Amino acid sequence: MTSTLTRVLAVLLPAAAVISNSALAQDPIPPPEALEGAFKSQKHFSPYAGRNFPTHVYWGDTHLHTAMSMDAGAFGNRLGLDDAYRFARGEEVTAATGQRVKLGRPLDFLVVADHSDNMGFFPNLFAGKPEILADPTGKRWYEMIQAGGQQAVGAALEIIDAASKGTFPQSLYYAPGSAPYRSAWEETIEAAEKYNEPGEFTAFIGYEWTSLVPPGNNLHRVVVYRDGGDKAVRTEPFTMFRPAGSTNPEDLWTVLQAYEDKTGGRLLAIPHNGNLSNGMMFPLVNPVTNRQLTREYAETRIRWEPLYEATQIKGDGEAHPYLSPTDEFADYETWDKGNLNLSELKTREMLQYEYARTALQLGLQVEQQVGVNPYKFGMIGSTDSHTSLATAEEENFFGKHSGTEPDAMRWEHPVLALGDVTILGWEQVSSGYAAVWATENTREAIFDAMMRRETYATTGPRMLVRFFGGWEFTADDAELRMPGGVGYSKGVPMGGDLPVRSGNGAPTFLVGALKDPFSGNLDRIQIVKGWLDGRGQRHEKVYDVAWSDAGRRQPGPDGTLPPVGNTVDVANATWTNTIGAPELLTVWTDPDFDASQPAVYYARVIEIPTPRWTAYDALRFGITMDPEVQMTTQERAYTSPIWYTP
Amino acid sequence: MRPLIVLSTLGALLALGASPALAQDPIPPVESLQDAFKAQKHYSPYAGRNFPTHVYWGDTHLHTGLSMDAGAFGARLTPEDAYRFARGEELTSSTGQQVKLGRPLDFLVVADHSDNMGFFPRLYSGDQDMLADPTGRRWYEMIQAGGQQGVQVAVEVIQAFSDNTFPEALASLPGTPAYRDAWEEMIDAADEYNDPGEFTAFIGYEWTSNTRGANLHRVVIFRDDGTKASAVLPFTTLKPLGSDNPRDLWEQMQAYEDKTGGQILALAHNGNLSNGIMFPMLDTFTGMAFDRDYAETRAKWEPLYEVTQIKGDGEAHPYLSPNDEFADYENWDQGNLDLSEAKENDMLQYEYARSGLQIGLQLERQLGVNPYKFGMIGSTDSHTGLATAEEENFFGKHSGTEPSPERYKHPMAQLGDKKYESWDMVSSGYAAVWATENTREAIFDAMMRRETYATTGPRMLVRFFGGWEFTEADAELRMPGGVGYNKGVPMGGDLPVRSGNGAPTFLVAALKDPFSGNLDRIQIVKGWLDGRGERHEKVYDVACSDGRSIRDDRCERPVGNTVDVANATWTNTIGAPEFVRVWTDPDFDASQPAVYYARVIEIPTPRWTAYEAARFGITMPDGVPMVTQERAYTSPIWYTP
Repeated sequence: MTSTLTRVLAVLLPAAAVISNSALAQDPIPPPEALEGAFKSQKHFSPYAGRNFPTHVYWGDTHLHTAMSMDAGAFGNRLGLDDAYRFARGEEVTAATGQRVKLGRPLDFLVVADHSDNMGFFPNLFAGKPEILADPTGKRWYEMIQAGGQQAVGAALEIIDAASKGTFPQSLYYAPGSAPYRSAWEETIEAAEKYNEPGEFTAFIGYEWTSLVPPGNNLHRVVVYRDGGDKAVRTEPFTMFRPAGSTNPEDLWTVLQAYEDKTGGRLLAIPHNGNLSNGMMFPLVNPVTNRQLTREYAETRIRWEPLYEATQIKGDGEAHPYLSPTDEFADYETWDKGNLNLSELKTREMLQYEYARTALQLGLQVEQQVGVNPYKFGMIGSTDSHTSLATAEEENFFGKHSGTEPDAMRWEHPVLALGDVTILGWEQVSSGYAAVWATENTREAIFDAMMRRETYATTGPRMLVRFFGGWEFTADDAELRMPGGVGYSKGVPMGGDLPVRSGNGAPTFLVGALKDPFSGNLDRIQIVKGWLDGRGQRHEKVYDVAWSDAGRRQPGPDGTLPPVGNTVDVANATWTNTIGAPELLTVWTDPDFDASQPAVYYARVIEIPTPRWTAYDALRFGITMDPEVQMTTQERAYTSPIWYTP
Repeated sequence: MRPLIVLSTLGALLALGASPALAQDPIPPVESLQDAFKAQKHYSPYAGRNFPTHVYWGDTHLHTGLSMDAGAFGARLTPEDAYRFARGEELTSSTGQQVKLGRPLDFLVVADHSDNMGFFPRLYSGDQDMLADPTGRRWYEMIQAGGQQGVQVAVEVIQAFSDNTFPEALASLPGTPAYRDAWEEMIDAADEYNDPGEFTAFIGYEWTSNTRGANLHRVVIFRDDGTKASAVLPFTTLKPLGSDNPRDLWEQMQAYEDKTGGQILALAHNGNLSNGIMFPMLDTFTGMAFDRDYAETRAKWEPLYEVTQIKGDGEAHPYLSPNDEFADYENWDQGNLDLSEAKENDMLQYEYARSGLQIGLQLERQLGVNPYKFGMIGSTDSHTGLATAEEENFFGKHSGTEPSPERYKHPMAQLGDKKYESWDMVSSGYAAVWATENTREAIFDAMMRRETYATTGPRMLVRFFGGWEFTEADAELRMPGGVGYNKGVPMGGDLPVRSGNGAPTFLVAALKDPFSGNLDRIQIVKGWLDGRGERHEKVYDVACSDGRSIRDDRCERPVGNTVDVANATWTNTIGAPEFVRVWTDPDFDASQPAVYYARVIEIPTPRWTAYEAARFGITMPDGVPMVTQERAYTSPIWYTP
């Protein structure tokens, strides 16, 4: 220690001496011996002291709707903002269908993201506010809802239909600038302020901008505020209906910039899972200008959109089997029949512009063309639940909207239908949550972690996942059982860029996963690599890097790791954690690295099979579902990527 | 359908009672009542649960610089520091090292010694009253000089106190303003850091009965806040104000409750240093047989027992349990607290929890009441202000044994040629409490009903229920709480009156600490009395990891060992992450009183000494244990014929 210090000072001192005559000198320089006491060793015996990196994952839902959302209200949700926050922080509430419900474990944060268009309309219609009854259509809808039953359903359908066709009565439409809209937004802000409790529970102010490009392509974005109500109240949410709104994300970004310019606040936007965008979520050609993406587009998009919602109730969006035919885990809870309202069917060509894995590679391609990667996003999962209930637990799933809360029939009723194309209730995914490595549970710390993409997505379980990239990780680093310290010291965490290459080696990754104590054991950790070859063509490969039960399974000649097995007892909706591992931790070096090729790496953690929510439904309601209904699942986590740029 | 039948019955009963004064209002038709009884079976498995669903972790036995001995050994941390550390903050230890818990605790009892409480901080700060006394001035000047002179003060202070030659003018005695100040400081710190729902700071102290070195210490815990606790002063041992007899402590506790309407409990320090008087058959202070009053009073005030702590583990002893291969775990059995009297084998049965529970059954036969009907908790008894029981983060018994390359060489305590080696210290333990919320009231009430367990540091979740109707299927649902409370009693309880001719059934479950070792096995330990009143015990393995079957009540082979001592690490590639089992006592005799508790054993992991050796690059002598198998002990469930 002493000698090191002396050497450091010896180097330092001549330099200081050289400049001591100049204006940079501040005071006479003491002898090195006199300084040693000022540099106590910072290597603490207590392994938990002096850690300045994030040591805790905070769990949340960035995408939850309450009755303030027009569609949620129309589908029967009567639970407001208070219920949403109370439920998320662990309290028991009564769902819209009258059932008592409580989370198995509280969340640490929540973004209530009600649709900005017509925000707050339905609670006022339901309450029969005088200004609504003054309009003949409003009065008629109110009376239908008062009558209940089929009449109320009819009113809901009329309302949704009018909104999507643009025939919603102007006098009833809750548009920015109007008094009822202002009141709805203030109510949203006040609820977040009321439940935000720094250090204990974070309630973000937010909303969903609900761009639906005709005929129904989903380009929604959740807007999240770092700020408190004093700033957020100074503007109103951006909407999609003209003239105030737009369906073009570039217009949203302009509005986000205007907010920051006006208030000095901070915002970010998270795109909704792109699986219902019909090829529009990650384009190479800007659909507005019909030209290649520009550098300005790329810079602006990545300025505002650091994260992507890779999994939610309406499907998982990490990978698609058509795009990744050799990935046996790619076909996971895939929704690929069409766009959001099924008005346009899916074609295969669309898929590459919708799924996270290809989008990351498209981003590399755009970067080659314009110098900036617009799709340099991290991963989060969220529910997009419209019930005010952020449920992503298989044994406690309350569905997409209040019409799909637990009952004996929900599995067979369509959640989406147009003509003969339907998506049935059982296809809903009990997913997902956002995991954020942050230094504390505050709006500021969680938002900042989101901006640096130090996040991962899960389909519901709360496994802890670490993922670091660098050039110097060695097998030893995985033996110490504390990946955080060595990870930050020798590399960059998930969401980061590999440091400039030193030496001639390939990049090394330290990856660790600790099972959710209450969920399934771990099957394996995989690293998914995407890259461009010398001709700029996209490629991908999935590597199994750590797996359970290594005593009885090793990759075969073709490199394929045998399945972990299955202990699920579907009839009793249970399983045993007698296969799989409680934890996996390893160092992996890319065996196929080419220093001239840009690449992107992320980790995927797969659990052993466990009962899907449908199995719990079948058991609890004593029903038999169709043979096609999936009854088991392999839950998973997707980390934010780490990028390599030549 | 079933509710209808119930209502019909109810309706009939009501109809019968309709004419007398019991009728309140006309009875509505049965049909109109059905909506009033909605099903309480919720879809959401987490809704409507009125039982404890959460374990709160704490240390019930922590000393700060306010304890005379802790201060003398160099502890400079205050009760405020202790609470800050326990709730997860980083601070600087008395030896200048930065330290932080891996995970915060949920609750803490600062239990400073009541005798001479607050003495050392006053001496250290040069209190004017201290300096007015010649000995006080001399001690102060020696402390100012530091080094060996400071150490000499510590020795003199402790010596003077134990020889009863402590200068009266310097003593911090109940009734003096200095003592009142120390007590107020403790109360104020607890009230400041108590944060209902987030962190519970209990007011407490340790009554330190230690006659001839026989450790009968009790930690006293208040359910109440400072408005009540400040109405009394802690009970001490020095006569004439105090006493070394637990009966006098209980009397004081009763007086407190009578005076304030508050609630208070005492829990006994690990009995392994009591030299045979923690769980006696005869009254140690009179030599006479106990009366029923003794049993009732002890059971009333002492629902819990500190079964594991830094100065040794007190669950079982290999001399008493020669067939239990896990009994020889971190035992301290050389003598009493100050090593002034060596241990005799005959003392052991009156010191260890397992035999203590059986002696309780024997006394119950004599007296009609079981004085030793206690639940289990672990705690540190650390004298550093730091509630550390993590192997990788162990700050030792007192500030002289905080981490350093030298600490393993220096005895932790010494008398003549007898000593406790520092490497004998146990990085143990914590108290686990199944409570409905994190408040003084809820945790205290759970302690009173003994719904607690002890661990040697790790935070495994353990459920243990007893009843007459548990079946294999109950273990399959992965949610033992619901069925456990529904069909049985939780840890700490009495089996309900026997129905039918069967043997008792137990639902037992353990979920590994995510950051610690996997689980090796769950055992159920049974103690009972035969027809002649003789004590017996048996250990049954009820769950084994890695597919091992159970032969002769044991997992068929040891779980193995993955510990890499040189690097102080291991792999969780053996063992299990969880167990849930239903077990039926195969040797049940309905005529014999019995007591059952569960012991959960982890796979081998590095002991704190291994971390010490790796971090400081030192080689410790042969014989220093480097590997441990951490464990949990649940509160028992009793069967009374």
